[in-house]
Amino acid sequence: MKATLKGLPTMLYTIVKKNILRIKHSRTSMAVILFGPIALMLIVGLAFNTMGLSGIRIATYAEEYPGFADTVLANIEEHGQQFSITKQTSVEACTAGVQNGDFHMCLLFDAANESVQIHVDYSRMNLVWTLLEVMNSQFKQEASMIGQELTRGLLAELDTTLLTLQDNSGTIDSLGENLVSFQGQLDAITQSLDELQIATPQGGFGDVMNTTNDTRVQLESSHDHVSTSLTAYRGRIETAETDIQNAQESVGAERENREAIYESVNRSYDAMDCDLKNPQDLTPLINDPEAFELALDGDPTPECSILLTMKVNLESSIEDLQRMELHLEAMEDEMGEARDEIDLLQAEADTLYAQSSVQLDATEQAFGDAEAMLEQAQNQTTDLLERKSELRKQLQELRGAAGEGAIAIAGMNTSLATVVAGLSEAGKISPEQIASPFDVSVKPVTSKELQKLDFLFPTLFILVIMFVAVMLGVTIVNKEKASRAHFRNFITPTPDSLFIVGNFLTVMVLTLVQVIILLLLGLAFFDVHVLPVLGGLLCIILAAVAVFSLLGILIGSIIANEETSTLAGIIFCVILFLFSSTIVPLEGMAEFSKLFVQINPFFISAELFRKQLIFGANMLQSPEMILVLCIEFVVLAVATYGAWALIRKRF
Amino acid sequence: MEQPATQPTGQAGAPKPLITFSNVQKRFKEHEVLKGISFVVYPKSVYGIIGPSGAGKTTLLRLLIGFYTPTEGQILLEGQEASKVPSETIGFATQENSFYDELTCLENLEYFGKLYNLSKAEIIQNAAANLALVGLSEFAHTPAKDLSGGMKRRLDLAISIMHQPRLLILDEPTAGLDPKLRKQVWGLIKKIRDRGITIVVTSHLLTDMEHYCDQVAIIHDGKILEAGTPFQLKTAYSKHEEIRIETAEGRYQDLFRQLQAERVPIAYSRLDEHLLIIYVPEIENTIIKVLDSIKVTGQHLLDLDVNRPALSEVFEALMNQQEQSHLKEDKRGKR
Repeated sequence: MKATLKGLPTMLYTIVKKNILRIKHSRTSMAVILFGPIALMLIVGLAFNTMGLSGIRIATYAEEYPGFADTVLANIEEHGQQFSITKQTSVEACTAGVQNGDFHMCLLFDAANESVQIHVDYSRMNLVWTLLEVMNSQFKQEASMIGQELTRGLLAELDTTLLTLQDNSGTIDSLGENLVSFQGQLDAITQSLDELQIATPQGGFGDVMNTTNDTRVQLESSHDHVSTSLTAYRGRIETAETDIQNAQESVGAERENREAIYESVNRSYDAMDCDLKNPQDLTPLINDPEAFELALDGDPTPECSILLTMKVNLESSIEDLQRMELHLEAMEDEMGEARDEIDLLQAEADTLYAQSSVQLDATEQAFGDAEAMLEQAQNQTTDLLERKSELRKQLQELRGAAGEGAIAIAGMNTSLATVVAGLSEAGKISPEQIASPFDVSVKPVTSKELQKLDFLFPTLFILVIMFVAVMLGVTIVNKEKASRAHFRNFITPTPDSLFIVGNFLTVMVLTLVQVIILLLLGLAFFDVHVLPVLGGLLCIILAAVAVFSLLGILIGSIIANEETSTLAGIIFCVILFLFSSTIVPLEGMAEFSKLFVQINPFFISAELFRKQLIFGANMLQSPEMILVLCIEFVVLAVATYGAWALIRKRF
Repeated sequence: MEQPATQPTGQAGAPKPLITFSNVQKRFKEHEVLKGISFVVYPKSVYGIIGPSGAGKTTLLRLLIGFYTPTEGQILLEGQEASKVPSETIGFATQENSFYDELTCLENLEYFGKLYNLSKAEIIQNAAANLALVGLSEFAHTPAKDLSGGMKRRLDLAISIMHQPRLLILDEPTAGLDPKLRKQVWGLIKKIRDRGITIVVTSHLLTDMEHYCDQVAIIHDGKILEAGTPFQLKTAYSKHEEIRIETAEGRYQDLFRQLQAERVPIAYSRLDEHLLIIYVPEIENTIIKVLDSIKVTGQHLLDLDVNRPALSEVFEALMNQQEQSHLKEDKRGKR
């Protein structure tokens, strides 16, 4: 009797039938399931059939009402019974009235600043935005009228400006011409500047100074050399003089010696009278023929001859010695002269050296001064060149600026012409056009003619089926857990998975009944075109119902207590609803909330349903959403199976 | 309904036990609920398990149906481990009615029949037979919630045997029923037993167990204190005779005073629903005094039954033994 595959469908059918029969026998449950959605849609349909407002009470306060306040308030009151206006005596009374709920809004006018503050109770979110929209439209209308008045004044001022501009256009032209002329002058100055040759003195006195130094060295060297030479010469002369004096002494001594000898010889000679016998010189005897004959014919004796010879030799040598002495004297004199000359030369050399040194010092001084002056001149030239370059640059910039000025003036002239033309054109535009340059009208991005409430249908629809599926899931499991028969189910050979699937199918079936009712009601109360996209819608609905059913079954299975699990189901639905971009837009949420919204099955289902129903978009165009739903289905199925084991464990 | 043991053990040719518990232990974390239980149940008998609350009766039954597995020991059912025995072998009824109140009797039978994978024909046939067995044929299409207490209990039994199990386990089947309904239920149990279904039943109503069970086991604190036929147990443990008195007026307090005045040696007494039960050492003189006392107190006798010592006495004796044993152990522990 094991559960076979063949028997599974009938077993499933039995479980589903049992669940439905249990609900059917419980008339209250049946009524809620069948009439709940009907009631909901009827209430929504009837209650929100009109989007107008009525019975809106407005409190106002101002120390002094500005001019526009009367007009605005009169316009608001023109709406008849929709709005009633009560003037309050203080700011506190006005705002407290809103807090207490006596008034829907409080308008505080400020005549000084021509402004109005609107105080509303933001806790009534559903009403606030509608009221603000109405108020904004009223104030916008009044602001538009005031804007038109201001525009008229502005246009008059523009006319005056236009005339002034036209009058002053010649001035700008001449300014442009002046700038062009100025540019020419600048060019001339630049050219003159370019022609101004400024050469930097080159070279220097370094070589000369070096030469002077070399000369000084050479001079000193020459002087030293001359001095040394002269001193050497002087030494030599003094040596020569000594030698000469020694020779003179020797020669004098020799001569005296020889003269003594001579005297002796001479005396001998004379004594022998040899003088006649042996003339020595015939020349003086020429005039004395006797002596001469005798000298020639005489018979001199050998002694006389010897004496004479001796005498002659002595005389000759004495004479030589005398000559020698004379020579030596002459030499000594010459030596003295030479020494004097050397001294003179030394003196001259010293004088010359001293003079040369002084001259060299003066020369060096002169070149040093010249060097400093040259350096100064070079610096001055460099500075001059820099200034010239700077001046040229400034001239070029000035020219560039003048050029840009000329272009700007040309542009200004063009702009002025455009402005003038524009102002001329502006003068032709009516103040109404300026104050309200374009009309804004909001159109739905669908070609279908839908009412405002019709856009609410997809969200409302998914919301209803979410609550129905989750709560049915929770209820079915709770009923099962509360039933005494539950234990008997566990001891039958039927596997747990079959009970889970059975419960799941029961919720699906019952929810789909609701879906059919809702779709029919949607056709009746909302101008939605279900039939053309019915296939796609059913796929989305099935996916959504499957996920929500499992979610409900899981919640019911995990939480043991019946009341707690019901409460948890409601809380879960509310969380999914709140994080669904229905109340707070997705774009206004924190980043982590956005992530949650992206996987929120309610958000995904409502989005797919909305796109399909309103825009006719195929659900396959959002594959990532389908994928998320599929993943969630699998995760929930696995978790539910685990939770069922938990229930079994609790027995 | 006094009878000897239906299945003499140890004799040649004795049938094989349907259920064998061998030193079965069951622990839930640190808490040891069953501490080495051993007993056998023979086919086509009614086996009663008696014990105070928390003794481990329900755990024992759940082990038997394979909902739990033993921590230690072995449970054999028809020679197989109980956890591996097909669940179709066993029928189970708890002390609360295990059916859907919103469904009719027939719908409940059909539903559970289908869960046991019965064919449509089997479902029709069994449902009709079982409804007839429990006397609810007329109420086949009545929602279960509209049935009386006794009918609900009968329906529960009908559902329990819808798939024709070989073993029916009943956990406190008569709890909360009046004596008349209890009698009906026990009658029904007997009929089921007569169909060849072995029945294991727990109850705290010892008199019923004594009357309707072929064998009983007294369980206390996770252990079987004694097992056997009621007769065997009573013979082993009782020292008194039991006299069950039922009068039309039911003024049992007056009757009890008169019996004391007549110096009847009552060991102990108790009121059981509409009966006064007294235990006395000897029966012959007492009967005369009982009849005199009824007459003296101006009452009319409806029923007078004399029994061997009741199972309750055995139970009390065993409980006392246990308490004394615990006290001794405590004293030893303190020393």
